[in-house]
Amino acid sequence: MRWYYKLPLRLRSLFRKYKTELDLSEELQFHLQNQIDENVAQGLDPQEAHRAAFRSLGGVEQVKEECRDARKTDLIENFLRDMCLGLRMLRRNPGFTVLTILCLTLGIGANAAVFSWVEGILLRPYPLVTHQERLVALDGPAGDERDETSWPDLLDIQRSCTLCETLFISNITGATLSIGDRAQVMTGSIVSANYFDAIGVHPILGRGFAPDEDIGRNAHPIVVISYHLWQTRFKGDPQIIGKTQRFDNVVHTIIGVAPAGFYGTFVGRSMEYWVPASMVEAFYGGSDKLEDRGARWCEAYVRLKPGVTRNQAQQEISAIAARLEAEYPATNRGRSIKVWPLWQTPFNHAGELLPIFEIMVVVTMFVLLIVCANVGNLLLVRSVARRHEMTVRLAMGAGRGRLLRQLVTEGLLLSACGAAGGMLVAYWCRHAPVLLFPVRGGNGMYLPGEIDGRVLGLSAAICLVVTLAIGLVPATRSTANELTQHRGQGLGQIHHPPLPGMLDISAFFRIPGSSKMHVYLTSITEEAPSILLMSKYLPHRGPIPGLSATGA
Amino acid sequence: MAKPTDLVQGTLDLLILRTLALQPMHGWGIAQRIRQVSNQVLQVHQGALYPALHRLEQQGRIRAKWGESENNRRAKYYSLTPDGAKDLRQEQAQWRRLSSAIGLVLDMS
Repeated sequence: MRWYYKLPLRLRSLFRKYKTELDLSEELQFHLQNQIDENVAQGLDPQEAHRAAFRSLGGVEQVKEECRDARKTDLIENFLRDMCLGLRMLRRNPGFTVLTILCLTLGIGANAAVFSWVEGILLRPYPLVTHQERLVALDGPAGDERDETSWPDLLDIQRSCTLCETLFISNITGATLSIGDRAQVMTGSIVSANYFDAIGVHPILGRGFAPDEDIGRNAHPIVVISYHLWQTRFKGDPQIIGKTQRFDNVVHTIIGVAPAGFYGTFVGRSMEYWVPASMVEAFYGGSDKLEDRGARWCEAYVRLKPGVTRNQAQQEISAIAARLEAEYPATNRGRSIKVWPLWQTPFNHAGELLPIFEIMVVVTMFVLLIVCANVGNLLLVRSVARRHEMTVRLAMGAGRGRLLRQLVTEGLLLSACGAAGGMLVAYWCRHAPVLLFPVRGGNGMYLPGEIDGRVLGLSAAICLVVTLAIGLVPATRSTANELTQHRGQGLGQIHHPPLPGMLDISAFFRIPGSSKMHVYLTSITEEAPSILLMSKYLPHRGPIPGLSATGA
Repeated sequence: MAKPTDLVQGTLDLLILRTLALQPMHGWGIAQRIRQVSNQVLQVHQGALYPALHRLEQQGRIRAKWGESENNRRAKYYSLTPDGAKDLRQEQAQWRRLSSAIGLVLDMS
């Protein structure tokens, strides 16, 4: 209804609580007085008249509580009071509290961590690179090594693609660097000259590549090095620009240093240097790699223009590929080009990570389920011990809803603490997926999990669901019984506990070479322990082409 | 005399609004008036009356003001707001339509 009626009323009941309460008492008092007068007039003696009046109203405190509920102003106030009460309850049972919060921390933290990896690694895998949501990868439809694109084809696509904002290549490569008395194989990228401009990363020292520096075979022996390499191997030398460095047998001039926190554009590896595409033969060997349409070595990315869908881009690029097929049948016959989403990029570890994350999501969901079941059970057991408290409160005029709210608030306190702990766990674990992959020579990999708004949002949602799950279960048990049923009764029996046993994941594994994942769930009930087996088939993935190509 | 009938869910608000359309009234008076006018058939449950009044006030359909009662006691008088009057007209029309429809169904031969 109209806010200008409501607002002053709400404010009044919130800030002038005492006056509102007095008013309420006086209003009911007036009613009772009239009822007593009427009863007396009908011939009852004063004491009986008094009792009858109270009876007909049906309990002054209950009516008052209902009136307060009707005013709905108590929501905030009750919430604060429930919070205080809840905190006191939690402090009184530190063992229970710590155990519950640890359980929830584990459950929520595991989910948040896995989601942060999925989020960070699959959707925004490259730190500092701008507009990653519009990046796609170009490769053949099979996504294997012989199916990549050739340099002349890419130049044609770049010229004629209207839906592409920019197109660049970023090939993984390795070379031996001898710095001082140490020689080491290091991973780097062969990139097109527009690379740094295209991804919006600008060297902190020196410059990126000029537009013509990917033209001409072996014409531009220049290199941009990573911040990490600069700091660790060149001791952060401020005079580094213009110095030379031998990569395998070719001397390169260092022209720039990339900013800290930029690891290149390859999921699962951090890049230490970037050389222009003109130098490809110095790293990959072979000849005519820049001119031959049959030499399919380019690992290309495209940033689509804003609002362009992958399907639209695919249509245009297919058309271009068909035209090239007609123009150059000798090399391009039967060659089509597919637009791959970034999380399925065929030439890095993204495609390999996806099924692993699928398993993880399933497992962590189970963990959360089990945590909820166990915490719910703990709360249920405690609610039996608190039945006396609930009975007293019902007897004193508390509404069922009010008690429910209190229990849910306590659940919220627990799950909020759990969620806060979970965020810490997720934060500490954000780089943990690296542990899943052994370092295969050279420098390690970088897998950026990230805690951002979406991860926080998901955790908040999980927290709410958990609150409802663990708060409402005991709530329905504690308030479901009628007052008369257990007046004066302390402890009772749980007749139909909703969750009769403990659940546990006892094992989860994937049979090597098979695409099936098994999760064993053990349920320990009073009657008999039972084991559930759940299986999930994983989509088949081929070998990772980028890796074998570089021998990494 | 027939047994007092429990009020149909949701009709209490309507009865309160209708009673207040005549003149501002306190809770006791509203209950009395409804009972008298309905020839003792409609018995307002007193425990439900006050929460309903507070809810209606909260919704801005009625307004409360303290005043003197007939027997010189301080009493809280409720009166209809323009919004409440509008709602009353709507709900009255709706109720009439509903009851005449039910009447038609019951009287069919």
